[in-house]
Amino acid sequence: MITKGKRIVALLLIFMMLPGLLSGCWDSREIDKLFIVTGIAIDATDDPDQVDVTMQIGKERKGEAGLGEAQTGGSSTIVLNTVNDTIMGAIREFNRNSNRKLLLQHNPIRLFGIEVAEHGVKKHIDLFLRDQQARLEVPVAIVEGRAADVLTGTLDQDPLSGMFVAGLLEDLSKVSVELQVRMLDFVSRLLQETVAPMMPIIAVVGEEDKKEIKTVGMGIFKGDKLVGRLDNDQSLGYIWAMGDVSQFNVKVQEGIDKAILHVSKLKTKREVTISDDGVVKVKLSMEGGASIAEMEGFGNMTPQNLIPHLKDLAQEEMKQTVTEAFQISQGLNADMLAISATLEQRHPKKWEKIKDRWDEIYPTIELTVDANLKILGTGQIIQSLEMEEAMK
Amino acid sequence: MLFGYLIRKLRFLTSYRNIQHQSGNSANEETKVEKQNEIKIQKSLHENLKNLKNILCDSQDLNVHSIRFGSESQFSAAIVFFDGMIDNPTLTDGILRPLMLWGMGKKEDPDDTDLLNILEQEVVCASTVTKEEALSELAAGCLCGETVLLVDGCMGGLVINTKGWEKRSVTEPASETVVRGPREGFTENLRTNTSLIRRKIRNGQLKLEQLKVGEKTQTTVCLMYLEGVANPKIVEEVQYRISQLDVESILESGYIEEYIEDAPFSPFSTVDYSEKPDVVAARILEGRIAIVVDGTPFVLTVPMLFIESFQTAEDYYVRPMYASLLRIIRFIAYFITVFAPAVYIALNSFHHELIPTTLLFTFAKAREGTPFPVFVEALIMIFAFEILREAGVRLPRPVGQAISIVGALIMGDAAVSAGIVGAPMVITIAITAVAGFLVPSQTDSGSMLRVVMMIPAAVLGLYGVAFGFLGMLVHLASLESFGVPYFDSFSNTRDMQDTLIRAPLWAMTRRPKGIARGDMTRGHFFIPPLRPFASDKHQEDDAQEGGES
Amino acid sequence: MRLDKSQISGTRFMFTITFFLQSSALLTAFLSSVAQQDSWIPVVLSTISCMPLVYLFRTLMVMFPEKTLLEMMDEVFGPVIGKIFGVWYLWFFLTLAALNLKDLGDFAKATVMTETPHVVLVLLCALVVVWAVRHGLKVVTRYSALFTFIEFGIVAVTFVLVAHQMDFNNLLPAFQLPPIKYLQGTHLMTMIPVGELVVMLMLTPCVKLSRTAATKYWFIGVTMGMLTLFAILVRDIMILGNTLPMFTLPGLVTMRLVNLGEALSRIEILFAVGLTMLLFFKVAVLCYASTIALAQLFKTKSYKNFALIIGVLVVVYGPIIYSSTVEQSTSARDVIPFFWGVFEVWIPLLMFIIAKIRKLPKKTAENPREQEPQPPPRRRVKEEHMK
Repeated sequence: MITKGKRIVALLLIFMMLPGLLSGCWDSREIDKLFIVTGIAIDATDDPDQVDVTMQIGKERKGEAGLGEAQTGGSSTIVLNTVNDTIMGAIREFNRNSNRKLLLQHNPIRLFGIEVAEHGVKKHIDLFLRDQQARLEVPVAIVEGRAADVLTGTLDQDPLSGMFVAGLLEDLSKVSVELQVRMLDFVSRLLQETVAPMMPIIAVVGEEDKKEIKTVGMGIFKGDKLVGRLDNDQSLGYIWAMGDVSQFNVKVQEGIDKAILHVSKLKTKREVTISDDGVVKVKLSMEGGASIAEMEGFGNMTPQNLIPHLKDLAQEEMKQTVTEAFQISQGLNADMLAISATLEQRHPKKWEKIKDRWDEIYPTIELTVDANLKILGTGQIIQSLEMEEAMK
Repeated sequence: MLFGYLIRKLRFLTSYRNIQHQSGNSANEETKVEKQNEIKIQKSLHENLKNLKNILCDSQDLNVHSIRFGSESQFSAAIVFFDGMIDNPTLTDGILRPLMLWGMGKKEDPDDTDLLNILEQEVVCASTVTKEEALSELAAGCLCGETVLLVDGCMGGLVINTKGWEKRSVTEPASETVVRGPREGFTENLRTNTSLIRRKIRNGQLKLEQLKVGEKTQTTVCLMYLEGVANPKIVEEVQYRISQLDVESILESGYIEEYIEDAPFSPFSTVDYSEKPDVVAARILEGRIAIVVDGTPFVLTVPMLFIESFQTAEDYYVRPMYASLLRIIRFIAYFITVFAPAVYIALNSFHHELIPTTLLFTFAKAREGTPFPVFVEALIMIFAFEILREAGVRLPRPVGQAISIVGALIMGDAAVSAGIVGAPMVITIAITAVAGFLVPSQTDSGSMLRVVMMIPAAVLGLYGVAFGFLGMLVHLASLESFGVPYFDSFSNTRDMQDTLIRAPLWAMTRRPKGIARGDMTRGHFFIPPLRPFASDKHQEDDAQEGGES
Repeated sequence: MRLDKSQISGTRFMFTITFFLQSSALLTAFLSSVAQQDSWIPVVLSTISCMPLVYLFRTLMVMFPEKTLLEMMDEVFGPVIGKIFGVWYLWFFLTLAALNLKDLGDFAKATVMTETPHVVLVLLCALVVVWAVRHGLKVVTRYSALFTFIEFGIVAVTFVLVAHQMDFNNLLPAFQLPPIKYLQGTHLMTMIPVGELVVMLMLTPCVKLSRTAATKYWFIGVTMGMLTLFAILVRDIMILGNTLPMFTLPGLVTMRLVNLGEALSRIEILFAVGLTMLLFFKVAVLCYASTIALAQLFKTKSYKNFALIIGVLVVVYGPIIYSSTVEQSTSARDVIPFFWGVFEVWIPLLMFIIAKIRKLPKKTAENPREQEPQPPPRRRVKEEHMK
């Protein structure tokens, strides 16, 4: 016979087990009720108040060991698209119209269409800073054309193009930290009004079936609007000026003779001086070690002469590129090298005085570049086939 | 009203302990009263035998053999014993022969008291001969396998030690196997066990006290400890707790453990046990008290610290660095066995960002086909594993192979293919289960705790696990084993020599502080070798042979 | 009369002070909104400025070795005023405990459990806290050394993991803010993390320390705690730079940025859980102090029954203090330092002065150790000095 006391205890036990069994707990979400977002793209629409949001959902990664089932075709991504007032509104709409919730935490990349960038990105960033699921170390990029194209295309290399782009930028960041702009870096520069934020630009090229995604340079912003760009070679100038670059190539050309030098590490020191009447001078000194990667021509030189000659050529080349990039930024009146930040840090009092006139001062800044490359090695062979025998 | 019942029960339980301390002495008086009412021994042999048979309920294996001895066979006597419990050669050679061949030295007949004394001290050839004057003592002697000699006309009898029965020989213990170290294990015989311990500690300080516990089983319980090293307060507490036991039977040391432990409602045991004499000897040397119980090879040691579950005997016989590594692995294994299912549930249900993206896709695919929430899956798998484990202990050997194959197949492939559970869950539970066996004395507490941890994990994710962990820590912090805090070695920085790592033996020169009192030093500190093999000696040899080759 | 008969050693007391200060690691937002990128300067300054305050606490502890704070006030101010102050301090401890518990709940809600009701998170913590308090001080502080080292470990590990993202230039320019900001920051730091150490005066009877030992443990404990806070702030500034004042939980943001490859990214929840456990201990100590205070006000023999009452009070009281987090941080920045200055500085100072004037403690009443009634012989094994 079940006494009253035992019944009550049994009821209590059941009540305690219910939360676990029914998983009626508030925050619990089973994985199969989630959409894993692998890319977000923001585009402009005809109505300036609305924004076009595209999200790429990953279904599976290529090359998984599963249980022996082959991929029978069909894409491994789902692309969701909607037009809404705000990004949060778009997310709510996606959630409402499907049986799964969006999981934003694994999102590796945020893309902005070039039109959005030109009109100003500030109003679209707020969600990514405020939302608890959004992360700050996610890189951002501009897409030439419509950002959604990157997410809708399928690539051979990786069915999830969002992750592919993220991987692409990750590799670039190993060359220089400045090439991969994280949300945090972008916002940090944005907060400081005189510094120009930068963002890499990528483009989708190719035919329908054989699409490819490439980087085509860096975009220069003034405030939150895109005002200009550097192509791939000029971006090199930008990162050399910022410093701390590793594993890149310098191409020198003299007539028909070409040589590629591989620089393993480059450090840049900058000296910013400001005189009392507001004349700013910047001196950049770059130092690095290089080795010869590939050569063509230079048939009339010996290895002993070649090395200093190449060194001069390379240094000249580097100075040229940096100056060129800087002049572009001066033309746009965008402080891409964060010179004003350095000024504020090192000479705060003088900065206070000139900070309101920064827009007038920036185009007048004198830049002197000094490059010092040591050629440390020549690879496996000392002289190329076209050169004279050194011994003769 | 709903909680009134529970609250009343809880209040009763917490206050009961206070009450019983005050009324502990009433039990003793009852037994004294009983003794006074029993039948007295008498001079007549016939009467005594009749009374003795009554006490022993006239069992059919009670043998009574009447003999007559003396130079003119003037004395009649009887030997009483239980068949099967005595050693026949001792009986014939030690008792019957000297008795029957005894010729009187003196001319007069000795009177009654003298007769027994003479028999006890001069005639009977046995290792232990005691004169008893109470029938209950004689009966108890019979029940222990001793022979009782009753002489007509004497008010008393002799209890002679002739114990001999079938015993298991000393073999390797089944529950604690080692790769390196002695392979002796205790047996069910008390004397063998105490002798095994004595052979490890050949020091006069090793003291042994004997008690009889259990009204119907009359089990002998021995306390062994090092006098001057063990804490006298703890010794006294153990003696008190065991001697005050008013129970009917003690069949195994586990009974004693339940009766004397400090925290009966905790999943963690505060009394440790072992089947190997070197382990028990090491613990005695640290200042603990060993409780040897007749009839079981498991010897208890008190007080117990949490860290002891992670120390095995082998730790001290292999090199310190490897032993330290194993120790750390054991801690991690215990952590895994208690928290792995909970953490898996928490990660899968709440914290998806912790899982690397590629793995997340795999999990998602695995979860697609399974119907149950993660919590229920985990419960099913744990339940299945416990069934398998218990079955593995109980199944008869011929069927063992077949069942284990079926078990592995069922648990592994078929369950996943049928879509009942997901593959990652099987792996998690498999690791959990196997890790549980690394810490043998905490396997049971681990099994219970892992289910308890799963509930807050299912409700609140990693925060629930964190608070479950904190709750467990709070509980462990409040446990005491005979006055020594359970977690002593972690909070006391001086005793860290044997917790996470096993310091080399030459560095452990002091006993753990909480347990022992008295002589605390174990030896002097030095770094081996004591004296480097004098290199100049070698060089002389080298010089003679023309340099080192 | 001592309510809690457990005894803890000086080192354990020191570690308790340290982790009490370290628990504020996640809650540095109110400081960074004042001093922004120069937040490390107020930390250094407040370490110096809090020394006299710590010395005051230590002196009070040494002057009245057997009395908790409430008993001290009874003796110094007389029974009536002492009781009034006692009630006031009880309210102070309860508020501290409730605020910290609410912070715990808010933190959990903000990071992970966005949809769970606040009460559930807080209730679970309160249950474990009540259980710990019932077992007494030795259980509450048993893990202080261990968790202090765990916290050091967390700080060191996060330092190393984000080292490649740190930019020393973010600390510049230094000393550019108007001096009033530094003063405000220092005042804030002295009152809020360090001033709460007045709670330690409730633990006095359980810690037996000589004069020099007391000084040593107090100062080393406070220094270690402030050092941790300093390290955390410097790390945050170096990584977040000028975005620092923007975030509500800068410490968490730094931990989110740990990104060493696929497997070692997004692991901030592990650190967050560790820091939650530290906050749990702080709440446990505060609840313990409140329980003892309540028990002493009502002059009861046992404080265990009050533990559950305090637990419930703290759970319920927390959410109703402020109406929003914005109000809470504004209040923390502007109002609280002055308000708590009364409890943490002015009343103890007053107590000290009056005690000196009245020449307390009286020399005749001094007994080195209270004679406790002889426990029944069976209990002797349970009483010993705890480490």
